[in-house]
Amino acid sequence: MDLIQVLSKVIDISHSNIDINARINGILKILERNLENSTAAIYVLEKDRRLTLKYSTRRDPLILALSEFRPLLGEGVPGSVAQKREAQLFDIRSLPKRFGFLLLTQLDKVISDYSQFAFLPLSDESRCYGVLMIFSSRGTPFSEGEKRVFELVSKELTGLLKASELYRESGRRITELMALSEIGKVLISGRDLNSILRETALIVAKTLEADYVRILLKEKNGERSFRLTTYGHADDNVKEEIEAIEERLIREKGSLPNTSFDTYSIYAYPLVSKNVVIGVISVLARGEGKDDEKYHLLETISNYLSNGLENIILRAQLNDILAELNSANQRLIEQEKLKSLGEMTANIAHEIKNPLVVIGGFAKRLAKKLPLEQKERRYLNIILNEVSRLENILNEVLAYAKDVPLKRTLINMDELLSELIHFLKSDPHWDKVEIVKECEDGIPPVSCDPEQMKQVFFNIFVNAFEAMGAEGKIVVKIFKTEEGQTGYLCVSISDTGGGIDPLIFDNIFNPFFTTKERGTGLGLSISNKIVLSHRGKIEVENKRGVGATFLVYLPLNQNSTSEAGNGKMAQKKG
Amino acid sequence: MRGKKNILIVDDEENIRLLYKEELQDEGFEVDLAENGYEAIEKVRAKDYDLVVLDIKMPGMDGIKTLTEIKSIKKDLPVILCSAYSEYKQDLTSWVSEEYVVKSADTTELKQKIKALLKI
Ligand SMILES: Nc1ncnc2c1ncn2[C@@H]1O[C@H](COP(=O)(O)OP(=O)(O)OP(=O)(O)O)[C@@H](O)[C@H]1O
Ligand SMILES: [Mg+2]
Repeated sequence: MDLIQVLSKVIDISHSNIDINARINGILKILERNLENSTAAIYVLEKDRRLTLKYSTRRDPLILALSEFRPLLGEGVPGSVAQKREAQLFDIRSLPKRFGFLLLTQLDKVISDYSQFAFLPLSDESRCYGVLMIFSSRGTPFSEGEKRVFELVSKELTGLLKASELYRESGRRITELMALSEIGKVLISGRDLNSILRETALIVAKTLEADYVRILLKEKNGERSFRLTTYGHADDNVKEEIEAIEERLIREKGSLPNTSFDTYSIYAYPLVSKNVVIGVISVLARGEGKDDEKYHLLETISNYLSNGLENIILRAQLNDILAELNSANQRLIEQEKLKSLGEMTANIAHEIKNPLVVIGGFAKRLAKKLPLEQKERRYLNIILNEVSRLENILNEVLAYAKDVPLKRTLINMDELLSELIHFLKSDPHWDKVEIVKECEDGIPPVSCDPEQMKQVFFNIFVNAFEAMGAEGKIVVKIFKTEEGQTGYLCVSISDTGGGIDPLIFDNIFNPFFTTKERGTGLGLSISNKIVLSHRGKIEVENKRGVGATFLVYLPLNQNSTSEAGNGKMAQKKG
Repeated sequence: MRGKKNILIVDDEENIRLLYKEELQDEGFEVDLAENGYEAIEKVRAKDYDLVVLDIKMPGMDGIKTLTEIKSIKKDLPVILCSAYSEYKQDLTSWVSEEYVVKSADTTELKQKIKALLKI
């Protein structure tokens, strides 16, 4: 072997500008050609600390057998060379059995083809990149000169492996950056969530050379409804597999090992926001076995997407709220318009009503004074008819513009009282007042004006509160009772305020009667009139020294009876 | 029947006051007039009326406020609230009045309610 010639050829190839892998294979060929009956191959040390047989020029049986096995760093002869970064040379007799891979029985047959074995570390000061193996079938051991060539060639190969790794690394980085920048553009495009997800799925499919991409996203945090975006096609059984993976990722949070089929692999990664899994991105890609690069790429994309989506989701939620607010505002404006229209109509009608009353009123007085048979009397009657026609129109307009006094609806009294009690108890002044409510079973809804009835109970509650000095117990009972033919719903409200002084008992329903420094004395008189206008009544039971009980009766089965719009039903209490 | 019943009419419109006055005088009532709430309160303080007819919508002191004042001076003096339409019951204080009528060219209802309250 012409050492100088070999070296100069190796250096030529090593520094040429053909593809790095081709340069490495070319160097292996030069070695094989110059060492008769020999084979050269390279184990490359990978990130998972295992060796992969990546470079060889011949389909040699020993090389094929070795390429099926990925030894760990330190495992067998190649592993220990990589670990110690020291060359090891053997002949067939000194060679450890099966290169130290004791389980690889298939090596026995093929090792015997060779008699000289050289293992050389491809490493620099910082780390090892692989192991160069040279096997030869000649009887004589490698010479000192050959060993020196091996050493120098190893240095060249180390440089090339290093370059190839850098190259691959930057290639990956470029794909990654391109994918991220494309996704970034989509994320800030301001489009709606659905089209953003669709675009993203497409970019992921392109970048990972995937056949099928799924992005599953929770609609709202904590809820179990999802938005699914897919790209491409997958068989049903594969989809089921992916669904199971998604399920597990969402439940357990964190990544899973990839699942491989005969010709496909599934890669899945969770989308995480503020430590909560908000979705899963899954990819079905061709090629069996796991591809670290694809997995890493998906991881990077997922992390990027998680951050971006968080903002988009927030924005979408904000948009929803804004839209809601907007329509609420619109409704409010409509209501205001209607209200002011009503007020305006009322005002105009009011202004017209007074002169009309004057015209009509005096026309009537005139008519009274004129003798019956006089022709002018007919004219006056025409005026009067027209006035009353106008009055009717005005009354109709005004009745429409203004609410009729009693707005009856069917009310669940238990609910109405619960609401009122809740309202009262929200005031901290009521903290020392215990309110107990009991409702008899089968109480039917009662027809009444809920706002006015609330006013009634409110007045009674406040009186009880004041009588008890803000501390005590109020018992509310709702029950049915009968009087003659009529069924009544009765609400009784008892307090522990010591009762009402018998001297004033007869006056408490009178307007402006009060024993309080700051009372107006209107509370009970108004309450009474409201209840009377509902054709009901209020009774009082007084236990001196204990407390007062106010009983409010409302007639049941009154739903169809309508109250007159004006005028009063209630008579003043005698 | 003792002497004529005294009625105070409170309304800011002169022609309405005139109409009511003539109509009620025809029925045999003694009628006094007030053109706003302040004047009405003064007159209620100064004289014992049997009944007050009170317009709700008046500038300055409105009928509801006047009603409250009148009732705090003489809580048993009957008051009939009067208005162009049923704005009554909007303000719960209006419940304190004894009666309510919607103004109309036809004064029959007003006269009926006055007579009922005065038990004539
Ligand atoms: N639960 C009660 N226990 C003892 N006295 C009561 C009770 N409820 C009412 N009274 C007496 O009846 C009077 C009249 O009550 P009403 O609610 O009409 O007026 P007020 O409470 O004095 O004033 P306003 O309710 O207008 O603030 C009270 O001043 C009080 O003396
Ligand atoms: Mg009260």
